[in-house]
Amino acid sequence: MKAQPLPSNFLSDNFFSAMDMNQPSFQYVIIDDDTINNMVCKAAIKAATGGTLAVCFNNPAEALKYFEDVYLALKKEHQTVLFLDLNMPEMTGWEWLEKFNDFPDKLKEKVIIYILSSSVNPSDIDLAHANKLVKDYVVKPLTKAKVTELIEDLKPTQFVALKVV
Amino acid sequence: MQLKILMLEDSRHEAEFIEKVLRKEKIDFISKRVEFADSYVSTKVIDGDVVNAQSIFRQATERKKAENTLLQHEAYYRALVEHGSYLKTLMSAEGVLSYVSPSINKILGFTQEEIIGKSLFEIIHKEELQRMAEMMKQLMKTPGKSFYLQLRIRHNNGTYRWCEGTMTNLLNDSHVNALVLNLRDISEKNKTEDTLHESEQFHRVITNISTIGIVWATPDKKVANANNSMCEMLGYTIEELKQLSFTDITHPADLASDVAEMDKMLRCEIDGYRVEKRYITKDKRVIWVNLNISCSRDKLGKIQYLIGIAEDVTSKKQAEEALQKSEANLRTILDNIEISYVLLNKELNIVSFNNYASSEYMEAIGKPLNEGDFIGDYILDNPKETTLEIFNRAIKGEYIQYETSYMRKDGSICWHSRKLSPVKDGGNGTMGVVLSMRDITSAKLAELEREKMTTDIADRNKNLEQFAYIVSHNLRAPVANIMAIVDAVESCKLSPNERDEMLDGLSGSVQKLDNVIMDLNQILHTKSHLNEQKEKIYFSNLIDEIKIQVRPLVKKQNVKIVTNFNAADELFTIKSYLYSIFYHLISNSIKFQKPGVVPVIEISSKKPGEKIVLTFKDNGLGIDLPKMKDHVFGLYKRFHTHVEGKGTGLYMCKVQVEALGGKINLKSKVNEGTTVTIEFPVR
Repeated sequence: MKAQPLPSNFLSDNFFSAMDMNQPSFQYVIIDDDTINNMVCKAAIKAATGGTLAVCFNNPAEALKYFEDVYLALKKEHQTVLFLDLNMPEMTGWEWLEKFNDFPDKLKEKVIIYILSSSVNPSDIDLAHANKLVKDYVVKPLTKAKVTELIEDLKPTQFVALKVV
Repeated sequence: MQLKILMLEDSRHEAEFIEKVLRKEKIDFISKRVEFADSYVSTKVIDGDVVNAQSIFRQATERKKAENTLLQHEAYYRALVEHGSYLKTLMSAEGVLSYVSPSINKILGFTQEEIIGKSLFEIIHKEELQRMAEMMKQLMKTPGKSFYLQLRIRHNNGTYRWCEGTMTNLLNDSHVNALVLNLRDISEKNKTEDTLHESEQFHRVITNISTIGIVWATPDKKVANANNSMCEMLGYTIEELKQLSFTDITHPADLASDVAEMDKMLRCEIDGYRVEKRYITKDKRVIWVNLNISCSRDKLGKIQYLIGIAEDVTSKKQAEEALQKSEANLRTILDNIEISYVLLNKELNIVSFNNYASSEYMEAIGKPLNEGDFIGDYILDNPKETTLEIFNRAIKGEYIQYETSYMRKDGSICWHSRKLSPVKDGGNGTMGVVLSMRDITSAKLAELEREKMTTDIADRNKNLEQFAYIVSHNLRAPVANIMAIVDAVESCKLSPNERDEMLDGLSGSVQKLDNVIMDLNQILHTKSHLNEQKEKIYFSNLIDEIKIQVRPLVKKQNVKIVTNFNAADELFTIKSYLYSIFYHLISNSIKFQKPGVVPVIEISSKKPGEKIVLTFKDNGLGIDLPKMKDHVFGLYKRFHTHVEGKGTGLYMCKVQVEALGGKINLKSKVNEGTTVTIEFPVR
């Protein structure tokens, strides 16, 4: 299975073009080896946010590389909402979180992580809730309604977060 | 002083007398006859001098005639005495002998000359001195009186003779003026008397012995007499007993042997015998006696009496029988119990053991237990020292119970439950230890089997649960996608381009859903397994078939497959399963080959014991095992993404191997290849 290439525009100035700096707005990242899932997630987020394009990674390692190399270099301090799949070959969602945990707090503060999985295994759900890096566990499918709901939930947190910053 | 009125025949005596006086011989008295008159001259001679001489003359013609007759008798008597066994002596108050009769020679071996003038005290036994002196004292006080006495006198040869006789004080008798001691040798008499006395005593004692029964019987086995205790023993009076014979009172079972012995005695073959037999008492009780039979014979050897000495040993016998019985009972129990018992002394040497212990050791180490041997020589435990340490703790008084296993000579493992009970001596110490060992191998193996089964069941349960979640996840994933696509189509404003993408996604998801369902079907089919017939499969043939199937790949990738099935080339099993397992492992090795290295797959077999071990070894990419350990055989677990795969291969291998009763293991290091071993029971 080949990793999907990064969106061609993800380093360009208009990558965050749809974001209104005065409104709480987010960058969306999806990590999942399932390309169909990535496609439908992208559509749902786009519909819910009014056009924001999510960044999708088929290979978790590339997502790490993105955060390590690119994200920190960005001056714009946008919050990121991350949807992370668990069941992936080569690197599971849990392993990805372990590696992500090694990043500086400054970065971690800006990334709000949701586990997005088709698994209804209670042990996965418990693990997710026990992980400090994880905001919540979202069961697939990710629909437009679910994304809207999440953004609503995030707004107050976002204000508080901005005040603190 | 001289008297010349002597009769002719008396003058010779006179002359002798005078001579004797001149020779200073001791003369007590002498009588001389004068016609018509008795003339007795008594002289006392001390140290040869006649200090006193009394002469008595009496007119005694008539009396003398009568006396002559008397004298004749006396002479006769005297001759008898002097040549008989009586010793007649005269002595002074101090014991100096003035006269001894010639019988001295016969009795004491001295001549008259040797003894006259000596003191009696010189020749009597030392032990008699005191008694004799006292008697003399007494004698002095009572003139004319006689005392009976017995005393030992020395014979000339040094031995002592018992003599008895009388001593009379005639010191005041002017005719005698001496102590008269008449003695006879009674040594022989004394001996006989002693013997008689002894035998009487003996007789009395044995008759009155209360615990020993004595019975006399005539040679025709009739009871002649019996002592009290014999009567009491048998419950008969002596009169009743005398009416009976031996055969009447002997237990019928003991009669034959008793009679046989008795007949031997009657035939003079033996003089007696000892037998332990039963009597029947008057009230029909059975008593056990220890009987000694002897006999008294006359000079011709004919039996006069049979003498039986019987000791009642009934209670002893009963106690003995009870002990034997209880011992036999214990022994029977001990020898029939399936627990080994070994009694050890303080030095841990074997004192005793039961049959089971012996046979168990025979089986375990090939030699039976031997009394006196060191138990350490029989211990197969490893290490032996630990066991001996435990035994020594028991010797110190500790009660110990433990379980252990050891390997028998034949290599089989034996489990023991052991108990060590110290055997206390009278005080605070121990005399030894009782070692009891129960073979709990089957129980232990069952327990281990149970434990393994429990673990297996738990594992399976966990696997099933995992399977359920995995299934739900893998089923849910495409379903969730379909749901999301439906949602997107409904609620998102999609461009025609996007709609087409969604449609493709829908088709892909449905396809994926179907694949998963197909996989599940296969897995469930395998798990509900074994409908297919088992057959004899040759590994080499199987490999040939697979080689044909993967030929394009093998050719293209230059794969080398090396096989060695010399040790074992066949297995009685389900072909399709084994084919699938082989195929998966080989295709995995080809798929995950290391770039730039010619893939080599080595497949070999071994047959250790009752199983076959197959090894698949490749030189491919390997798996990061420490990390993936739990997932190697997991369903839908994938470790490489660069080649196609569903993550079902190893899972299916495991399911199929287990369905055939085998085990599968994987060893691997990243970039160092992978080795898969499969173990099948032969049957």
